[in-house]
Amino acid sequence: MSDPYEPLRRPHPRPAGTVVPWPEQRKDMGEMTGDEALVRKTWEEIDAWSYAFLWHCVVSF
Amino acid sequence: MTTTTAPSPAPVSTSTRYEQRLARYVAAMRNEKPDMVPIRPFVAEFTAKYAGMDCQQVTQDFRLAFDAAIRCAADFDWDAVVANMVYVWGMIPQVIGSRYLAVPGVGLERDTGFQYLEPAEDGAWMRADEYDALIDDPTGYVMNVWMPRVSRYMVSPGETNTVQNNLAWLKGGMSVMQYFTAFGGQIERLREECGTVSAIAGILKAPFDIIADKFRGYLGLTMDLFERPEKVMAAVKAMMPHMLHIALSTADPAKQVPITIWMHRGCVPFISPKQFDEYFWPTLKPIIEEIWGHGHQTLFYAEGKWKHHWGRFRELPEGSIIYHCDRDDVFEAHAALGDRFAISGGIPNFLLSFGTPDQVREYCRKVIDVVAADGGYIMDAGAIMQNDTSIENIKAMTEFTREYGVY
Repeated sequence: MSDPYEPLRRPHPRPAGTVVPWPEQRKDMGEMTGDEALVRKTWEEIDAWSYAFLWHCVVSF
Repeated sequence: MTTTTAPSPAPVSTSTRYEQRLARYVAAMRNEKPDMVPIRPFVAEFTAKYAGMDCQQVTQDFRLAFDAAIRCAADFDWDAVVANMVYVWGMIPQVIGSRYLAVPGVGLERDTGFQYLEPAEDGAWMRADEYDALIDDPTGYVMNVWMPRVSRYMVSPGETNTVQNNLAWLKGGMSVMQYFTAFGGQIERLREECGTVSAIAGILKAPFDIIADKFRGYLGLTMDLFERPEKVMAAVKAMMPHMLHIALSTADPAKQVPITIWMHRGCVPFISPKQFDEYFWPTLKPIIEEIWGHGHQTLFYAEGKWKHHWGRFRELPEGSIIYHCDRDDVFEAHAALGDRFAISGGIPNFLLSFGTPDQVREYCRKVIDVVAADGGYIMDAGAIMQNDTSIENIKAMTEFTREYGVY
């Protein structure tokens, strides 16, 4: 392996920690009339739970 | 090491006891010499036996498992314990409809620990021709292919939907969230009611192990190493960011207790030395180094024998791991690794199950005299302790270590 860290840094459309990344979800939400950062933050929090569910089924259960 | 009984300590508050235990445990993990040898037994179904429960109770209802862990922590002078070492809450595989986890009281005898059912080679949860799908989009593969295949209830996108499918996803997510959220309260109970440290935080598996354990099966993977080695390597690399993320996302924010890697079959003789050096180690080592870069130690819970790979482990930054000794010779492990890493465990489980208290005390004496002589040792059995472990022998291990293991 030339750069042993490369697999950890490799860009991915669905990065570790996400199931539906915010840029993808944003396209589906239409006009954002309020605080987009707040929407993004809370979206990513719950998305992280769904990621945890999937991968803990693999790793833990 | 003292040869006399330590003086009776003055009564201390639970909070003071917690701070003393935390300092003792952390010092030993940093390969330093604390005031006495810390005791951190990984007690699993043993907790049920001690608390008057059976395996079904502590597996089926995590609140009973929490209570059993608290009961042990309150009664034994242990510095740290796992908040719930009967880690697989039986409800999760039940609501998902897991095909590979058998739970006590549901198909298994009610006083037998939960079991992982290894698939046959031709029934692996991931097919040999699905490597590219896993490599290209690991999370998508897990969600759309793997979960529906390991579940009796879930269906893949495009298949006819069912009520069972909807409920399995709903209840599965809710159960994992309920369970993980409850750990915060359990860790507080350990601290407040018992003055006991929660021993670990964060879970890690080696990328290679996860391909064997949950996707291709051990037999499938070992054949793939010959038939499609480049696919195996790409898949193992694809697992790396996910294993790292899972480990760090539940790690101790205070960076005091370690992330644990549960090491199963990635060692000789399950695989060859060449395969270890080509697949297992180059894809695990960067993760351990990255975790260390974030300020966390990793507890190498080296199930079985890993002596053949100690040289590789020495490549890791000094202090970055704690090496837990199962069926390796703990004295050899200390000689080979003790200058760089703390050691834990090494007390044979068969001795704790079937030996006499005098035999347990004698073995602990040797370990304390040699392995713990300069600090950097945490008392524990080799493997997690299930309900075959003798209560009398655990008392002997605890009381002897507390009396004899004073620096």
